Amino acid sequence: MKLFLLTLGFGFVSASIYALLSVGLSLQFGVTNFVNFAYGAYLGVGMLLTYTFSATLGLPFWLSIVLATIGTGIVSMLISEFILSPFVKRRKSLFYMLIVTFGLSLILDNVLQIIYGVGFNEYPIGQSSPVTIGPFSFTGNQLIIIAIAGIVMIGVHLLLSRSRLGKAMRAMSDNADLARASGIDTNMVTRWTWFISGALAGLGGIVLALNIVSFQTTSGDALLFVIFAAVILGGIGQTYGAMLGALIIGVVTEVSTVFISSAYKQDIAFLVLVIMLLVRPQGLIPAKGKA
Amino acid sequence: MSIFLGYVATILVTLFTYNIFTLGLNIQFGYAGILNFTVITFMAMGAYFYAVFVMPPANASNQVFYILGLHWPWPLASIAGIVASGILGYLIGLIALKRLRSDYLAIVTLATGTLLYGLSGDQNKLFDGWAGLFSVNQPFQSVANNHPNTFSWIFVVISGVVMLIVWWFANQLYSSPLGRSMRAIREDQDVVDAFGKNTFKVRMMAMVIGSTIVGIGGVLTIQYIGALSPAGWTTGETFVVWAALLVGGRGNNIGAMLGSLLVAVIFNEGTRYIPQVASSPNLVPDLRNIIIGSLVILSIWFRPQGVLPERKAKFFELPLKDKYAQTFGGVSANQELATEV
Amino acid sequence: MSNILAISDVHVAFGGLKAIDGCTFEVEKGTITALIGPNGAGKSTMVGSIAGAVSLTSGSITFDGQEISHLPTYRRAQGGLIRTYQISREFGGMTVLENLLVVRLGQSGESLINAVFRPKKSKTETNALVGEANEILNTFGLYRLRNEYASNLSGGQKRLLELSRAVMAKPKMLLLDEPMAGVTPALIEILGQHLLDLNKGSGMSMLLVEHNLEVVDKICSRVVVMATGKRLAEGTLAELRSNRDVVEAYLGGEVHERIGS
Repeated sequence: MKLFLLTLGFGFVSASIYALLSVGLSLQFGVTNFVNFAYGAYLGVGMLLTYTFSATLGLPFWLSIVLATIGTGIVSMLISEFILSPFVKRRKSLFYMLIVTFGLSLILDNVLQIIYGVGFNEYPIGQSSPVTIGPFSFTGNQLIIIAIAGIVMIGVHLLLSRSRLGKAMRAMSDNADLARASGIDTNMVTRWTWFISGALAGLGGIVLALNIVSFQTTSGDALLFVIFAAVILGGIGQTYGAMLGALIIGVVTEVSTVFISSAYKQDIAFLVLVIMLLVRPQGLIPAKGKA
Repeated sequence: MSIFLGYVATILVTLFTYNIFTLGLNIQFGYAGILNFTVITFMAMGAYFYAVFVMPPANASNQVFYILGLHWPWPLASIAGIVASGILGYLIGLIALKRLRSDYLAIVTLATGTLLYGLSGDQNKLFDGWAGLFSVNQPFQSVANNHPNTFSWIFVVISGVVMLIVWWFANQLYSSPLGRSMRAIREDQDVVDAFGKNTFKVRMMAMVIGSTIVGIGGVLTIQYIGALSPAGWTTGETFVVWAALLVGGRGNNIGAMLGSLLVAVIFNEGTRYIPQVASSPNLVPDLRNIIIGSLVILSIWFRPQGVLPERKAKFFELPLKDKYAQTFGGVSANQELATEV
Repeated sequence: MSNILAISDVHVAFGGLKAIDGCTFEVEKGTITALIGPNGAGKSTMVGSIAGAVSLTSGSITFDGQEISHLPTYRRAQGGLIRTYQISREFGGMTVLENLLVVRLGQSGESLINAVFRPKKSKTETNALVGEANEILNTFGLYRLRNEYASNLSGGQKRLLELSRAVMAKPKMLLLDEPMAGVTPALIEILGQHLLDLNKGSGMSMLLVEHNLEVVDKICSRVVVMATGKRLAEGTLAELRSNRDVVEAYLGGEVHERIGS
């Protein structure tokens, strides 16, 4: 039981990381209606920009995180502006959009690898001693991860429910043509969506690095399909569904380590994905017209 | 001279096997619009399963581990490898081909690829982990051992013949009603469904046929080289096949083969001998991947139909008098009135 | 006269929204029946649920004596129920002729073995189909465009293609979802005549969703009116014009004047 609760605690940490990432992917999917296969590489961008700001330039760590998050958002927005949007405007079919983002993932990964090499890096911060909260035990970093995720989730909720941008994003998710017809500047919304999606990917990459401590350029790639699993589980394009999916995937994968080797963590996520696609492909919270 | 001959043979075998991979992907994507983002995994399945069927039981004292080790004769083991990749295609199809958007299939292929890659690397009991399988029994083993060049040229012939058979098969399929159904599904699956075709079944056929063909290429690859490790089937390799198909021309089998000549042989081999930069040994392969990725994107932008576009279907026709050819009214119905509103 | 299609107490809900809310009507064999109603009445959803693209929440649909509401789309089409779409959905990357060839069911070359190893048999069959398809294309004035890619056709030509493709499938019944949408008046005339010819010539039954009441008047013998997901009224157009409920449902505006005139 003690072990179970301990892993449950780790489950919350993983869920926090996945929540940032799946919300970012899901928001973008909802608005643009195609999956971004380069998303895994965006994690690497955030992760490694933080490394550059903190380790190479010697900026304070918290500032590095902020800058890297914004930086990844900007990278994502620029990629959308100069590569993806032109394809969308030419009305390329879904096939081609997916192949383009797939191609982008290869390019970004290798650009990162040229800049940062293939070796492992670590952030220049000390490892704090574990903190015990009730039955759970966390490192300082893990508490920060949970806090960041919590704050961001509240922020996303406020964005979607209160702000004009958020409402426009929801309108575009429901029906892009209708949103355009009712006077929403869809280009602007798309641009901001990519920024937010990229920023969340970057931040997700950073907290992932905080959790695994030593990381390399491709550390985010393996996580891509875990994120897909969370997003599909929640209902593709559904932001709150993505949060729920992340929570389930995070907890299930970590708790599974009580019963089987932790080497199979990702295989568990894959299993959840497969079962979901077979049993309820529209996800727990289905989105109209998106399955 | 003999080094040169051996090199030429290797180039030809590379060309022929990549032709086979690209033809397999063409049936999946070019015909049926199936996004297989892990082509190379099917190559690896074919190769690994051939290996574990043809090799003797693993010898634990050498710290080499793998499953099965049945020591079958190579023709039977070849079939086993090919069937294995077909089965993998079938399983992926079962998960993702039913009533789902093409995104899902792409996700499932990519996820399966990532998973199997990690699994075959981390679990050294499967296919000897990251070290991979080596000293895999080859066809005509004694020739391979004693006269490597002769073996290479025998293999040029074998892989060339296999490639021609695959090419013939792909063409037969393309021009058949089944191939036509596949292409219609590529254009609009819902409509084909609404006309009474079991689109799941047709797409499944394209998936399994394509995977099987890529598996054939995988078996040939390991038979020629005699070894395979995870480093030999990274995601980058999948892109090579995709770039070949998109550059050459999706839906056109000659185009697919031309693409693999341009991308897999001329570009890939041509850049292999660029000297390494001592300070960053990965620079050249990284740049090569960047170019391959850009090639994929640029070809979709500038020439999505490829160098050799899909050919227009022509049929044998009996002459028919065009009812509207003479009358002015009919012509205007065709040309003027029926313009977009 | 017997019914070819019977809709019985059909409900369709998307989330909380009731798109069809207990609709019942029938289509007589060999007739062209119109399905009209104001926007949002659930007409397109009805076509979708008859064809199998939309699943029912409850109710039943009987086609040609068989309950079909639980059959997948392709099985319904195999029974002879073929639909067209509100927006043309041609196979753009295939020629006009191929668009027709592909929809015929039961071609021997659709099995893998025949496709690859008995191409002769399949070729003979295809040649016969080409002749048949060319006849149809000729009737619809598309013969000379038969080797053109369907994506290169104009909007009106795509409408004609959509209809000729449906004819090639030899349906017992056609579901036509606004076949005249976005078509010039001259072509509306031509399309209407084609539908009448098909109906008279081969006795093909049709259910036609249409806004243009002139067209309905000209080619449909019966009219079903839907409003807010229910069947509101049924009869000939003349009868409906004197029906207060029907006129009310359109709530003034242009359509009100047109139907009341």
